Amino acid sequence: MALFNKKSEENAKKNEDKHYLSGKEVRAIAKANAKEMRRLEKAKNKKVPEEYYLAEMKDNGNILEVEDLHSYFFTDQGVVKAVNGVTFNIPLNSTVGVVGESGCGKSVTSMSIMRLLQGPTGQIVNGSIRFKAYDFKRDENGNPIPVYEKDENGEIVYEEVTDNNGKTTRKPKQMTDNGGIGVFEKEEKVYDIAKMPIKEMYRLRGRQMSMVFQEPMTSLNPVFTIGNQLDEVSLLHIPGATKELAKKRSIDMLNMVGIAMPERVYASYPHELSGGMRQRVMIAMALAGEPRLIIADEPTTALDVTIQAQILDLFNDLKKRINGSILLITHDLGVIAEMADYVVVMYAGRIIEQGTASEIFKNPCHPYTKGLQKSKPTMKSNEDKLFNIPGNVPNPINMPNHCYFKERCAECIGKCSGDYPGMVQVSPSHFVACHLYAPKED
Amino acid sequence: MEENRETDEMIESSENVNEEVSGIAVAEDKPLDKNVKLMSPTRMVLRRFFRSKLSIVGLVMLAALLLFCWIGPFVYPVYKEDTVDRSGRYEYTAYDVSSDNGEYVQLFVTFNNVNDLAGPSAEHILGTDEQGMDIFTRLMYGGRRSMIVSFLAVFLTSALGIIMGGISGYYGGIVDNIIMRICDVLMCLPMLPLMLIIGTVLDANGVPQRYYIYLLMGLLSVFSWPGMARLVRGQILFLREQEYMVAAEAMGYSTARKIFKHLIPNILPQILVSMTLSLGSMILYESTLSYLNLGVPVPYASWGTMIEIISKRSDILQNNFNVWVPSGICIIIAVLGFNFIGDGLRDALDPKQRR
Amino acid sequence: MNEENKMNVETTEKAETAANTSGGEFANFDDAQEFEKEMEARRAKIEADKLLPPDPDALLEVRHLNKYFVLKKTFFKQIPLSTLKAVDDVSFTIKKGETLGIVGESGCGKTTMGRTVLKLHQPTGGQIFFKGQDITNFKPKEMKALRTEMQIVFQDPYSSLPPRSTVGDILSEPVKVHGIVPQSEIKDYVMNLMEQCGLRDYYYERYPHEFSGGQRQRICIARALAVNPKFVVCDEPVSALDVSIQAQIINLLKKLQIERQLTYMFISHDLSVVKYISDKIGVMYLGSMVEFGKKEDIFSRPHHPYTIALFSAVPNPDPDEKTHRILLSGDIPSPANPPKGCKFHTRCPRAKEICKHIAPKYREFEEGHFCACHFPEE
Repeated sequence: MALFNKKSEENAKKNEDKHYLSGKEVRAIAKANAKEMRRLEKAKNKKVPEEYYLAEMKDNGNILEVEDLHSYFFTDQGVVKAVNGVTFNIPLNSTVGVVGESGCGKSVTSMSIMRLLQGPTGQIVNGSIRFKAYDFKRDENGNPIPVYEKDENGEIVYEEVTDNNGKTTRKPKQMTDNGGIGVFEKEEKVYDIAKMPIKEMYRLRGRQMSMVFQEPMTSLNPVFTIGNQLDEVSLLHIPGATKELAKKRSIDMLNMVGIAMPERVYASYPHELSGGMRQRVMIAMALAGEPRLIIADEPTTALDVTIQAQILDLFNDLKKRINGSILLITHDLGVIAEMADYVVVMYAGRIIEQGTASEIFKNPCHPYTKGLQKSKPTMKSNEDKLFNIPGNVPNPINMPNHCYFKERCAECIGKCSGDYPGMVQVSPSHFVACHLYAPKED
Repeated sequence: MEENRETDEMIESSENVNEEVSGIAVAEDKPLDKNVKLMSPTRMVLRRFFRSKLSIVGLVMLAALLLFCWIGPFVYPVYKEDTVDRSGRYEYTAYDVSSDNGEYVQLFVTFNNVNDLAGPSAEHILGTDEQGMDIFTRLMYGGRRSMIVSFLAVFLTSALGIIMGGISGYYGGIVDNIIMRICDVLMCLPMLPLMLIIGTVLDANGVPQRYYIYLLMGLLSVFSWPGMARLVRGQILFLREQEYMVAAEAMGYSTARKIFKHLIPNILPQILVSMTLSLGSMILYESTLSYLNLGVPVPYASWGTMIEIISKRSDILQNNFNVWVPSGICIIIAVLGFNFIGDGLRDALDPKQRR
Repeated sequence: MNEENKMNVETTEKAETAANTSGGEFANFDDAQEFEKEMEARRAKIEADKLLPPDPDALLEVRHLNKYFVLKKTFFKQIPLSTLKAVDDVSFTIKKGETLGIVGESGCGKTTMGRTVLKLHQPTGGQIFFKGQDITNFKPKEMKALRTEMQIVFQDPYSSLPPRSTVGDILSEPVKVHGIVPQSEIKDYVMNLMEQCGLRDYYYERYPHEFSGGQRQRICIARALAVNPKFVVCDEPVSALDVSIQAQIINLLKKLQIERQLTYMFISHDLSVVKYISDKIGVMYLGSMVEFGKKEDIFSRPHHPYTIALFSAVPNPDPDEKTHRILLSGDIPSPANPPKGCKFHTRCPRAKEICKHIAPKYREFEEGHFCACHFPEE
């Protein structure tokens, strides 16, 4: 009880200097939040026809187009605009790195793409995420349509099949690929993920896009063997896959991620493996569905430097071998420089600069990007004093309508107190949101 | 604006680091930080507590019950706890008792003016019991006694549990081993049979019956601290590994300071939750003991004692619901109320939910 | 897997008694007598070092420090079944005003070592001299006086501050306990301290959870400095922070070092940070110091293959420049079951037969540059 008394006394005192929210404000926020959350939750679970969430790509060379994405968290303290109008593209077969500090919305962006935001507080409020899926073509019953083998004359080849009852029927023979997996007809479809009902997301998750998480210790289920968990992915995503086939594929995958003894790892439990091995298994799992987009959310942050080097090496190797794109999310500029083709720099829920890797690293434009690069000591540098950006990373609640970096910026000009700066094109692929580069208005 | 220019210059020129830090401090206090208002700790706790409807229900139930028991007798001072209503009709009952050989006949005439087992009426809101005492009034007094006994028992249990658990968790090793084995043994004891046996022992030694409940509940607490001790021990084991405890060690604080200033305040929420939850079960224990005739004797009231009568007179169980249902409802309300509040407090104070 | 490795090592040991590659100092390591002699010499050296007087220049001197954790005990006999050698025969000195950087990967014992030199763990063996005083066997009471001289800053700014105390309480408590200033001046003293650490005065009444990581780390630093220590162990103080905040904290630490003539032991896994802040660097691997020396020496002429691999593993923030990277194969072995011989031989690109059997000597290659390797990079 004494605890409470003490707290309430202090509370009364502090309410005067307006550091804390008053009861009235709290209730107002809660009321507004509840209304918004209810509306969005309803929309998320509503059944809609497929046409509603089919879309068109702006540029056919992209696999993913994120346009004006807004993802908010409705917290008791107010609406956290974690992602506040983010637009970027992921071209086919390329690696896009998203870099930023904690709370800048980089993870929320990836979660939004996977539709994994924790409801009801976390919601995609606005914007579109167009994803070009390469999925099985399905007949009216929702079953995939197999591709049949044809002879030289273009006639379908038939084969005798004996079923469980010993009856023999003649069936058209399905084509198989090198791995012995049946081939089905596929088609390209563009979905708007932000509009998709959450129940339809199973079509995309794992098969079309998959995720590698930061914590390899907690991302694997401790009570199943590695083999079990890997097989599950194949069994789930490949129609007509048998257990033997799944195992073969799993071992192939383990081989692919550079595990020396795949059979042994296949049979072991997660706790028997080291962090680096587990991360390799996670990557194998992400690859098992042959996705076109792999989202790697801080894949090396929890690992030691020498292990991180191994994993980065693996990623660089895989980049050439898989037919897909990688969205790499990290706070480490070094990792981005090693891996990414394109770089997106985020700050307080917005993109402040984007361009190719060499543009961002060789010619950074935004003061924040410059500051980030200068404030990290490098192995080569020998300077006496470290540059630092003053102030703190802001919590994106109640943001003003001027540049969010203004308070910490060393190159602030008069215009910065005005509206939030728009994206300025510096070079064909290089954009920056800063008044310093705005074209002269005259 | 100007301050920004300043920091800019400071960073560019290699001035000494001192001023730069003050520059940071200036920059920190700018509008962006001011835009974000936090919730004060109290408000955060309250908000989480009141988010669940059940905790509000629990709070209302308990508040009503407490008001009823403590304020009630002042508002409704018509009867006392042991006032027998003798306003009943005079009933004369004549019994003929003849001797075995039929030589003489004795006539017993008994008369009864007690208004017993009366139904609800204007005089007695909930009627009277078999002794002719006002049930409504006895509910209030009974509630007081039941709750006070439970509170005392819970405090005793918690005190023992915190001390034993604290020692066990903080010192570890052989001390921990001994205390935990004692816990194991105590947890093996079946409480109710034990209480019955002790009750018999007390009876044989001529202890007045109205002290039974205090003695028994005291003993109950002495036997039931292991739950609290385990909770405290677990929490302390967890907190001991926290870096701020290592920092306290590095500061050279004394053991007492570490335990009482750094450990106990941090496990207080969990203790509070556990105490609230065990209040409910203690009320149940009290009622059970009273029901088994080990509670307060009849002129004194307690909720358990008020139900006890149905074990002796099945006609009351069948016909006079007003005698035993009200106290049953009171017990249910009290137990539910404490549990609801306990659950609400757990949600509100649980550190895992802290943001 | 480890079991099998060990078996392999043992069988090869027996089989290959004769034909062996020559290696470094012990050509005849297969000769049991020779081997025993060498081991005896090393033990004698440790004993002899014990009697040496403490280095007068050093603020902190550590000699052959060991910290073992007992993992399993049998119930009846109190003999350990397995021990974890978290710190295994580590020696170094820190002079006043210097910063010693300790780098290593997870499980290399750097945190344990930091805490052992502060006597937060009782060392299993070896000696610790602080200001020329042997504090190895100091009792808690004797240590209390020394607590004002040596302090620690932790990695996790979230778990290192008590959640239910205000910043003011946290900072004034040590001042009160140690009687640094009279009761009436405590608040002024704390306010002054907060200002030095870049904290606003109105933070005094607030609770730690209201702050961001960087500000919390400032509070932790202020707390450590509240007792005016001479020596501060910084246990990964910036690892949990954002890049822009990291730089602030590093600059703050540097500034305070100049103002208060502090001596730091800076533990980190981030090589670039250690390089920036340290004067001397020690590289640890599985509980042992594999290389130790001046920063310039270590970075310009690393001797140990692990140091070299560690340096090349740091990602280079230049997309056009593809550095040649020395990839270490395999994972870090468990410290509870380290490989025999040189602990690094399982991953070492230049390991030879001898490395599997005999741990290399910790030798001084040039003035103040130590390395433990049979085949160091010259």
